[in-house]
Amino acid sequence: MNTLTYIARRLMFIAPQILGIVLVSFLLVKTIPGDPATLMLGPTATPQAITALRHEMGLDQPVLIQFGIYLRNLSKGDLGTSWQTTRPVLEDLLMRFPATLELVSAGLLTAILIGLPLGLVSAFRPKSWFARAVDFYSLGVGSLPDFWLALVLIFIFYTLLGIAPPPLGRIDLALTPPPQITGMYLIDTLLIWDLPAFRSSLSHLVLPVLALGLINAGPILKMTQSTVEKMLQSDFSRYEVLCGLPHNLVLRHALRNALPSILTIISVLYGFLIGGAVLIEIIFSWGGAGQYAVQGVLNSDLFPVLGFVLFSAIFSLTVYLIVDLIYFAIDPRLGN
Amino acid sequence: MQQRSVKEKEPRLRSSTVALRLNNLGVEFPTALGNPVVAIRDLSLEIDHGTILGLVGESGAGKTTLARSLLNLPPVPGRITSGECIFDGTDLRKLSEGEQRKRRGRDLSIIVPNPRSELNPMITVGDQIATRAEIHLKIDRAEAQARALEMLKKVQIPDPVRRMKAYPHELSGGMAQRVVIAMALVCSPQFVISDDASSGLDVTVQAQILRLMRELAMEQQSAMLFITRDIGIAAHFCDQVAVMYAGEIVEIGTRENIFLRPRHPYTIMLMAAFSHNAGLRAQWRRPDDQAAPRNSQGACSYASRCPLAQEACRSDHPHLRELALGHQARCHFPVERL
Amino acid sequence: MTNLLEVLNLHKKFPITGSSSFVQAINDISFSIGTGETLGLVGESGSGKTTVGGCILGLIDDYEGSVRFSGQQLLSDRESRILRGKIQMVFQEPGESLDPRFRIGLSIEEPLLALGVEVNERRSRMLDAAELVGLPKELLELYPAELSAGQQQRVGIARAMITRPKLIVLDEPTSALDPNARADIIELLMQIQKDIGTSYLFISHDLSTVRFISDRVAIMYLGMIVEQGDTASVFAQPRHPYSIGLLSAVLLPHPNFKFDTSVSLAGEIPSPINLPKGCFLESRCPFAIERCRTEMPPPSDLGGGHIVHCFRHQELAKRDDTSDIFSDFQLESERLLSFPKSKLDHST
Repeated sequence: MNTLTYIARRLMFIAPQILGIVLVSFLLVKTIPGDPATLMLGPTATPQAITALRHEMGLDQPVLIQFGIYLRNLSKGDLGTSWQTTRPVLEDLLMRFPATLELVSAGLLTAILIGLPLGLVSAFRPKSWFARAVDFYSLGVGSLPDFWLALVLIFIFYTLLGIAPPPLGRIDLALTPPPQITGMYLIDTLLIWDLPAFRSSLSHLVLPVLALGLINAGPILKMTQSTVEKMLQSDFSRYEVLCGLPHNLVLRHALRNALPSILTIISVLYGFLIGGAVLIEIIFSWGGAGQYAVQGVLNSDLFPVLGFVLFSAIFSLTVYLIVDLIYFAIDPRLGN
Repeated sequence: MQQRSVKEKEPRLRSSTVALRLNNLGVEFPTALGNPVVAIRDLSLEIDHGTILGLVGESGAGKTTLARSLLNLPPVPGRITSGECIFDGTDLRKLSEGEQRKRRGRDLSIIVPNPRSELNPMITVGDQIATRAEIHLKIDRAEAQARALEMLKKVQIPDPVRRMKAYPHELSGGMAQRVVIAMALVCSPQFVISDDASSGLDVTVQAQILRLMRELAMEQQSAMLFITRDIGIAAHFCDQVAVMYAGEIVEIGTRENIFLRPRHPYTIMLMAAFSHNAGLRAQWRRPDDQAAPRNSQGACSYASRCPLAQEACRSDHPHLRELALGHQARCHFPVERL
Repeated sequence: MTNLLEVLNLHKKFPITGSSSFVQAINDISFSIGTGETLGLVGESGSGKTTVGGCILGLIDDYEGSVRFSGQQLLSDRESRILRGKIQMVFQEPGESLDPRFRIGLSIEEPLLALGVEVNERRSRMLDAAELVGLPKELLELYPAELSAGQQQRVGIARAMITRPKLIVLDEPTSALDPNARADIIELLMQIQKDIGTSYLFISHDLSTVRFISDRVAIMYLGMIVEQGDTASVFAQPRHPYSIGLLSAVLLPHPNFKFDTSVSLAGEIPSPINLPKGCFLESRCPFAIERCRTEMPPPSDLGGGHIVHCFRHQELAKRDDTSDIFSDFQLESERLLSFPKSKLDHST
């Protein structure tokens, strides 16, 4: 089947997939203890006030009806309102999601730039001291939590050396953030050509991105190393050596064959990090979507949580779709 | 891009009629504990240009180990412990890694079984052949592609132009095998090793491919080592035949000598297996037929299975002796013809 | 005598996903196997021979035509067939058909588990089966990986024999084996047939082996039986161009014994999708005439159970040199390889 049919089919599936995800999340979130109405009105509220508010919020309806109402609002583009920020969730997310996206994308890119070459070199020279050092690194990194590394980095580079900016957000407090075009400061500051703001945003990104990158390079490294090694031991690689093909060509071919697996893990990491970077977001006061969702959970604030789930589900599914398309492009055994 | 005609290969200067001379090859495989297993033991061979030597034997005899060791790439974790592999005057093992690599694929080619798992699944068949030509013959891409197409035509692949863009998984077993042959022969190598290349193919396809390989080898006056478990192939397509057992050649000679006048008990037992004659087979096997121990230093390696074994066989390792012109056997008491 | 197995007008098509065409695996075949008889089913890839085995065993249902076993119509119900254990199967790759985590003894017993036989009887029957195939008791405690390929195949046969089947379908049982192991297994099968009277459907592309073990042979091409009959007659006097082409490709291990290679089939086997209306071989056949393209040749009975589907079979008969090359080769082998009489008493 050709590419267009495939894309159409996948897009067709996205709708029920998202519906399923949202339904399950809705039901799960409903099990979180804590009554929003009580929390909103505070400890001095009267039972009647609470009941009235619950009725207004529709919390006294059966769960599935509530879900139905939620879906109906969703179709109108209304993701509900956060009682914490008192703003529509859609607005909140549109502001915060790009922040997370920027952080996570830069972090993942760094992870790839660290993990891929290291994995390759250690696959090419499996018994060298370099490979052993790399093993040590991935072992260490696999056992460290990212937020701890973040704290260490802050301590070294900000507290001790003073070369990093304070972990207080995405941009220097004295500067004005750029107007929201994409929501990503690096892009927006360039678009309006505000170079000081650009430099400030960049410098604020360094430490969190480094923390994310160093830790998440681990799985990428391991996957690259093991898959490329496997490819180099496969029949066709050995045959290429028997045919007298130059070593770097054999290596290039092995890498090409290993790409699908490496891509898979990158795509999984990407989807994971959208929510998984929340601790980094909190440490650096990033104002990202993950942080927002966690506060929603802690405050029994339903709609931000659901809104976040929706956004990240759509994001992950899109990433998977793109990765699958890339598979089609590079692996001739699929499709066609 | 300029159109360039495919260059005709200049005839190579040859120092003698001998294409490959193998002297005293030894290969062993280290084991986890204890002594290494000797896979090939003091093996010597000579193959002339324009001849096909068939190497027959059962699995485990060391045929594939020999094939790979000829290219100085014994199967992992094997090690070559001794021997010279003199190919057109130069010992391959004494060359640098880069020089060896150059010889492989250009002068010394190997055809392997299971072609679909040996071809890179992500690159088109045409590109794989062309890459080989491009690298070894140092020609440009366009000329390499032209040569690849020419080879595909020579191996009689149907619809060769379309097949140039096919991927290995799109081809049937027979076609994939033809591709591997095309790849092996595109640089007109002087020496071709075929390691069980026609097993797993349909009978009629096998017949075509064997004929094809023989024709192409003759055309280029290459020497060929044809490894197989099927002695029928050796009987009809090879000029010389060598029988291998436990890492050694136990009998070698012209096709007529081996098939019409076999002298070594193992050769005869092997041939009896193809005759499906139970009585005959029983005569040539001992009731306690076991697999051969590999490190039988001071004895004939076949002695424990040989129905004609005598004292001398168990204490003295036999050497290859010439029994007649073009016929040698490694046996103290080669079977006499009645 | 009613035949043990009667297959009549069998058809089987496999649909292709994403398209409306079919792979026509089997196209109207009929054959029978008697008690204690071996029928060799010969063909190359795409001939459908493995599918035939599958239909008989009930592994493939949803076919058209009838399969009768011991006079009774077999239902398309895998359980009812295999559970009764009267039809069994031996596979090509002995190592792959044995569960690597089961000891050999357990693998052999397994079919009896399905039949609900209790443990003591299972054990004793397992020992009998192992003895039947020549497996020493010590091997029964080992795992498949510790056995040679020949021994593994013996296990496969023991496992098949343990339910006392009347018919065994063997799908390329010796293709993966060395010549000696191959000959051993063939000898074993023939001994079992002589002693117990089991029938075999021997599916293979190895014509020498088929010639030796089969009483009768059926040659398949693209899902059709193009020629069938008594093995020696069919191989000595083939009357179908495909049979001739197939036989000419056989390589006997003796340089002086060659088959007539003057008839060769051009090209490759066409795809089994959208087969032509006339004879399937027409595009490759050197004897094809106009009629072959439009009409499927009906069966011609040449007497003695020898049936061929070809319009030109009489012309092909004229080409006979009536020499049975296989049996000539056997005689020559015997002469050439006979054990030296003087040494017969000397083996130490």
